[in-house]
Amino acid sequence: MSQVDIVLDRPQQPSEHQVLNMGPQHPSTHGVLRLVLELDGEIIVNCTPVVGYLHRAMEKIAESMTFNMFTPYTDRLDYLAPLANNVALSCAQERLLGIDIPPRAKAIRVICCEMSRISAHLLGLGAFAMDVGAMTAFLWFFREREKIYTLIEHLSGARFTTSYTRVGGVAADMPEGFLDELRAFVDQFPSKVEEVENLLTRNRIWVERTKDLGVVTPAEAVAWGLTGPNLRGSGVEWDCRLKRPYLGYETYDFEVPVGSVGDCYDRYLVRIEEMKESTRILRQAIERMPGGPVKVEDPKVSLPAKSKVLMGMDELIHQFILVTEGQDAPPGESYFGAENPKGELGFYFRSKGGGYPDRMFIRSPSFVNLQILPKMVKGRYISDVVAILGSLDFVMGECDR
Amino acid sequence: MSELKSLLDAAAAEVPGVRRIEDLRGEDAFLAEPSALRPFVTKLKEAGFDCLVLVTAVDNYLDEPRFEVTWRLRSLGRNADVRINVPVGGEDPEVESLCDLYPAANWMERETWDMFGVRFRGHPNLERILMWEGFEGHPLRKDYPLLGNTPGTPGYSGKGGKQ
Repeated sequence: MSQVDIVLDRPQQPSEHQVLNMGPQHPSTHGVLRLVLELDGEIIVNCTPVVGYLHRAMEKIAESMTFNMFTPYTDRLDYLAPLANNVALSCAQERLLGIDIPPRAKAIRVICCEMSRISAHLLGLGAFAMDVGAMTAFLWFFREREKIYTLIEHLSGARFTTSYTRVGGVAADMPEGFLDELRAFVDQFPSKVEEVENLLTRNRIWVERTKDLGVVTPAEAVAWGLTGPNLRGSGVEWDCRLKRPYLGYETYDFEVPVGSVGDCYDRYLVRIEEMKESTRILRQAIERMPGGPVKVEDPKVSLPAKSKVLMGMDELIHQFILVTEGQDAPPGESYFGAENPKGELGFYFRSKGGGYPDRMFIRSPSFVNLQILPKMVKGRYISDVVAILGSLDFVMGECDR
Repeated sequence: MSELKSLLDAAAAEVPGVRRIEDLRGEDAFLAEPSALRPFVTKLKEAGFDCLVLVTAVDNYLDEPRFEVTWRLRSLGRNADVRINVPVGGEDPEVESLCDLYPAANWMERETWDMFGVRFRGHPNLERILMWEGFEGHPLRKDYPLLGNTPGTPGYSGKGGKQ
């Protein structure tokens, strides 16, 4: 008998519902999400999420910026996977501009995406586990995350605010020895995931806290617009990397794990498996890393080498035009959705020509994924809200934009 | 691929006020009259477009009709997207809500109302979502001031906004 049935089976007694504010500063709401819970005792009758506390008008800001100028803002979207956001934005801009980037840039971007996916899932699962009481998993995952951040710092020069990609490629080539460091990380990482799996996957408390909780059927998941691990946890095999490949993902050999029940436990399993698949992709990217340039050699798209700018007239003009006016986009609309750790991060551009977008819409996965929350928590206990929130794995920076 | 195109074209032909538009990157895109939106989307939903990816609007300031609301529907089975643009204008722009067809539309329609002031007829709870209740104006409109601050904003200085 599920908990919902228990609620329904109880004799109806006249009682006053209590309203409880959870957040915006509650530790388990992962940022500034406020939930207005209507309670009957400890059981949730109604839940109203209140978002917008972190709204920074990013879409408005984008309208007065050239394409490359907006990249640093994407670091602040899903701040657990800044590299993946950088890549998604640049890919969307390249789609609008109609640019294809060199193979080495693609491979570097794949490494960026998969490193971010691992680090975002590490934090997502670690926080999820900690919220329901498993402290060790959090600490062990953070140890791994630290290694990734060291790698990211080596790659882009910053741990969090990476701003590593540019229209037409990446800002700079990988530093010397980076691939070896990455290989060393990739070699030891699967065993570390296994350690945490040993802690959680068959842990009786963990299973009882997450199994059959927050069940989302495949039809519901699609109708509510879920994407990413939340959609795949419900058993829908949809992954932008697989279905509409970008950055050459079609040439990598990887699986897309899907759940069967669609409960919190399945979403946990999907994320664990995704980390292992990301490791596989990383290994392939290291093996095949092609040579060549890391950005498009078109002076109308990417900045010329600084040494040439200082000596040559043409390069100086190109640099000046690119910095002041930006890349000339054709008038029209374009949309690109990238498979980010949290789901499909899409950028919709409307251009009227010139270097500034007339409108840019960020289709943020956290915003769309959160809508289903009231449906999931209804009839559950307050302590279950914490587990459901953890399994949905959202980031308010991205939700509120 | 062409099977999908003919399916979409057949659906568009059945609903008056819908026509295919050219897309920059060759995607399937349609321009629909406000009244044709619901019948067209219903047809697409029956044809397997079961997922709503985004709802947003664009402000073509000084042009008429001023706003263009855009929907993006996805068929997971066919691995296909379709975009529907609906121009709306007037003092109080209004289009029909698709919340009953796609639950995912709820928050995105609220956001479009919040940011652009485009009303969605039949929405169960059309309130502001990113800005707070009581906020005046719709910030993503092109005539919303970029500088200065608004009454009610934390730290409001009393000075008006600049264009």
